[in-house]
Amino acid sequence: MQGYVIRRLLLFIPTIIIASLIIFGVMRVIPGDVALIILGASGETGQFDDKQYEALKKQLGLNDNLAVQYGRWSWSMISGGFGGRSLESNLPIREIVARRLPVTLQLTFYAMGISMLLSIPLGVFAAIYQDKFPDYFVRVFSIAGLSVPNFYLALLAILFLSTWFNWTPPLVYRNIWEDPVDHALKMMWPTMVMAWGYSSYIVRVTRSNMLEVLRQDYIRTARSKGLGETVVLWRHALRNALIPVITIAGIYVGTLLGGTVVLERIFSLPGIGNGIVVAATGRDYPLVQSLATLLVFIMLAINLLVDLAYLVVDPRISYSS
Amino acid sequence: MAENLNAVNALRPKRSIREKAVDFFVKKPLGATGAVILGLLIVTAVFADFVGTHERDTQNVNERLLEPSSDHYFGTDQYGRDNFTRVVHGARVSIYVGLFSVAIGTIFGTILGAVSAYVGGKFDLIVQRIVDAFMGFPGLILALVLVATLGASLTNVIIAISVVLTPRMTRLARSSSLSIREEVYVLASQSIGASGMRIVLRHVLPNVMAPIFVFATSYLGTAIIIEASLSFLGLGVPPPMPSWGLMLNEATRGFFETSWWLSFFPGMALSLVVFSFALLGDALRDIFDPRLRGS
Repeated sequence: MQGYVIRRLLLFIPTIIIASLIIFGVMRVIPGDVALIILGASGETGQFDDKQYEALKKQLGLNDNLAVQYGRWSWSMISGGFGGRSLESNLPIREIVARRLPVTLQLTFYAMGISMLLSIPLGVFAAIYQDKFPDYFVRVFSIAGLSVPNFYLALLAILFLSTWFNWTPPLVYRNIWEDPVDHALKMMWPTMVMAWGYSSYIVRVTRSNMLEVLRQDYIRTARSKGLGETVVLWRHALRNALIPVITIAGIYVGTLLGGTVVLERIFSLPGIGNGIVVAATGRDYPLVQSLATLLVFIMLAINLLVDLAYLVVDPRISYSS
Repeated sequence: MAENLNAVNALRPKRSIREKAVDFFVKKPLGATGAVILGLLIVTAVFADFVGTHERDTQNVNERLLEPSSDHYFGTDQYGRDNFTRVVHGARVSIYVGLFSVAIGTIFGTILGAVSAYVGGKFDLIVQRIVDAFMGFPGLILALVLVATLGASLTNVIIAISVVLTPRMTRLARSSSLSIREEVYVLASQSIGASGMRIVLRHVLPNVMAPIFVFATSYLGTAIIIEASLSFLGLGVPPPMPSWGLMLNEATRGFFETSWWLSFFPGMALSLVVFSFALLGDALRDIFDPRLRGS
């Protein structure tokens, strides 16, 4: 068990290094000169003088060789500088991250939490009442969640709320300890939209695994030795059915995090995803580079937690230790 | 033995393509429904110029933001363009991006995965670490970073989505190939001196096609959603090309609450396509891979 944890932790390091190299590489293989592209986009007529060009190249550190550039940037990421300053606003990226990161993390964890609380019981009920009404309800719920893209669902939610209830979410994001009510009102709808999509995957896999586990011999044994149905279902069956559920939950974290980009945009939440779109639109390459790396780090970290969750859930591991 | 098998095969009635199609409809009604919707959609995409009732990009100030009517089935947008025609042409963009990006990603991923499994050793280890790193990206973020640096265009969106798909396909092709590498016919082939290239092309690849085909089909829906998301964020297909994502974006600018038809129809079209690919993908998975049935 310790071996597994250590191996899993060690795998994390090369993965994040290669991922950061990919982002760094993509930012350097832009056809043409980054400095030229940035100047061309910001200049009124596309005209600029050599001084400006040289200054920008110096600011971006483009005069050094690639290894030095990567070394400087990655050290800055590790030591908390997050790669210097934004080109557009000239703010330290560290400040931007400090402001935006909590929003994205809150949204992600709210959506994951609600999904788990909602979809695991739903999946179990669907399996118990296979081919009866609760099962059909759950299946329709999940196939709809899989098909309707989250940004369309979000637009429909806003349209519906404003047309029928004349209600719009608060305009400005507030932190939870600043104004809990406003925070909840602002975060509620994006969280629900995200949770629906994510739950759909989890409900499906919970249902099918429960169906499979309920046919196993040890479930029959548990019942025949007189255990109550509740204990059989929620302890013996669910615990074994949860292992693949955790796998799926890990796989779709990427979809969930990708979803934050679009939903933060629609609900005007000041998160990382929204920041990356603004930076990409404004050709603020250093900011795109740092924020994208941060999102990859979050995803890998959640995947790591998911893998470690096997240790808690898998009875074969916990019984042996 | 071989004679017996031939005799058995001779007794088994030969089924025409039509009979197979009918069989598919009877056994997998949902999957067949998906296939029919997608068939109609592809026809619509190919013949978009004939299906559309108006000019795609012609603006008409007198017909701004009209409600759906018998002339404009889905109403008109803020420039007076016919919404129905633009939704129809949007199918073309979605299908085009979906098919090309999935085809490119599948080809590269399959070859890389099969070669990686066959060669093994250090090469395999390095490829797998790189695949891990690519899969550490949320798909949409990777596509977004690529499009942001390459520039927003139809071609670059296709490139970006195929880069997202390739590592996932590599992983699948590798794991399928690994099991085939141990098969007796591969050993036999090696023992009579076949080259590695020949073994990968003639024995490994044809035998991993089924799971890859299934995954590619179900990924088409994802590819179309990524395109729509990028376009919705303003980083995908540039205007005035009618992409459903871009139309949804344009629908949110100011008159979103008064003109519901502008967001409703492109979104419904998008959902219908993704839904159909999900149904078809599930049905194909059941047919090709009985182990995964019902999951």
